[in-house]
Amino acid sequence: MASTLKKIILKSCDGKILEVEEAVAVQSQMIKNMIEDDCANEEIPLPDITGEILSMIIEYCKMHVDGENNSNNELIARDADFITRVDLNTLYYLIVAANFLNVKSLLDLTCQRVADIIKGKSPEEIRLTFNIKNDFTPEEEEEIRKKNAWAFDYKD
Amino acid sequence: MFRDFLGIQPLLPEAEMTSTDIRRKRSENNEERPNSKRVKLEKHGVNWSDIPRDVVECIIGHLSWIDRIRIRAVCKAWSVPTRHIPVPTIDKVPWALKTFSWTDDDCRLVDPFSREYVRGKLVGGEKSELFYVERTFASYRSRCDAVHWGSAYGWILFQKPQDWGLKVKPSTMLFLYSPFTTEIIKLPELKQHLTPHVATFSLNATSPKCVIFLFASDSQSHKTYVNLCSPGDHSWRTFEFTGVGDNSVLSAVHVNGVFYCVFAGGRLVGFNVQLQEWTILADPSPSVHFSLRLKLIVIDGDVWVFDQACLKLYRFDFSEMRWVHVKELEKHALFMGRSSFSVPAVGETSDLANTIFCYDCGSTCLCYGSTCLGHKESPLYLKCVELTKCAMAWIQPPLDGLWTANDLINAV
Repeated sequence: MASTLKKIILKSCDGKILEVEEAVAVQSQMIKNMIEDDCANEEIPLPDITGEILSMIIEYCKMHVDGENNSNNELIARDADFITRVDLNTLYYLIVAANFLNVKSLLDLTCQRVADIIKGKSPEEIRLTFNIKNDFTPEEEEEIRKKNAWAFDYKD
Repeated sequence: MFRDFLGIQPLLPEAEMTSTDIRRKRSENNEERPNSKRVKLEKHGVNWSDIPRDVVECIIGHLSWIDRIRIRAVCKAWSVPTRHIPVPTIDKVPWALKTFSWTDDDCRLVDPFSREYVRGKLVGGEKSELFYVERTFASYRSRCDAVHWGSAYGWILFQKPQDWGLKVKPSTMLFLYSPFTTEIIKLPELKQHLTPHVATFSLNATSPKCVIFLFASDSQSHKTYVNLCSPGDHSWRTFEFTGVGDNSVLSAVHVNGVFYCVFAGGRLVGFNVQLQEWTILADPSPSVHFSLRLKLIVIDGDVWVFDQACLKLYRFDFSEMRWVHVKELEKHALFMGRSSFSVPAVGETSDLANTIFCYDCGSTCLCYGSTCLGHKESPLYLKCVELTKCAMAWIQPPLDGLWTANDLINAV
């Protein structure tokens, strides 16, 4: 049965080739559009996505296709299980790839995860967590903080 | 690492590959992989500030209001306008003003996450600021030594407390106060002998144009006046209010350029600011027996009244020009007070459907209608009950950005 299903061939930036069932591949709106435009008959090169990240995304899409008949709660639990195992660097690549491939549910899940990490943190803690360089001048930063002082200042 | 436990089977079995494919695959495994982009990037660390703008917006879409404000100070790339990104419905729950003391320069707010904010002086700074104190909130409302008339979009209308020691009664002093910017806007002095009965003001996210509406009577002439002013005005515009009979006004709200006032018996009068004229929309209703404890509230642009004595809600039907008793609140939660707010009970706030939180009638938290079973266990419901207990005014958080005193004064 399975062998008669149409397969889509994806190639990662590090040359890994993955063969994916169409039903799984079309979770990506980008690939779905390519199939509709008849551009997906040959291997699709994905210049910015590594094999490792691509494998994870396909696993995620598979989980959603296979879990279509499962209850909503079950799917939410699986999503949570999937995302909490991802470290910050991997999360970054997943987000960028999910955005590029336009996998709506994965983009939502990964953005939710980033938001959960940000919640309740001060700008300094957020910068430290995500290793972000502060590119504001002291004046610019002061201006932002002054506007909403109550949201930034703690009093012990 | 993730790849190990996923155990993804890549590609075609080797037998089905051409020899070129196999050679290519082997060379990838042996030579290309160690130098792949992924490895290089990991060495230098990823750059979170270069994620695409729509991804930043998607992340912001999952953040609550206060986190959205903080994220703006992280880096330029994350400091994007957020007005067009809908906030989670929980952010629409009003905050409680817990303390306001004119004499002690004290102001405390509590948000729906049970976090408390205290007004205080910055270390070494001149100006008072509102500080965020981590979850210390447990007590009830403390005190308020100014008269609170109403609130809208982050600003509160107060009346300065009278100094009872004075022999000559001073004229009434009203001011607008924002706990978020800690600014005060003094309003023009009211004519002597005028006693305010009801006051409110219009302000929303779309414009800093603000009009203060005050219904007052003259203790000497026994006449009644509608008084209007805007921040920055030097005097009130005054209109004598006649032809209505009993002038015991109970509550006022603003919708789309019209201030609605409800009087004893359910009489409803609308005052159009632009045309500067009022219209009697409904006379005291013979069929509905309203108490004198009526509060107006705007729900989805409609005018409603809540009778706090019998705990009944009525919607004003503009086509039939009469009050209609409503038995189900459906997907709304109401926060009643001097100024009342309606919050959609969908998404994170769906637990609040059909509930009314009223701080000034014995901190009543009421299930209105038939479909609010199970709310009592909901953490958000319980937080709102706590909020109601400590509130002496509801404050609508300015979710789309705060108007400063300058914005209000210079609005045209």
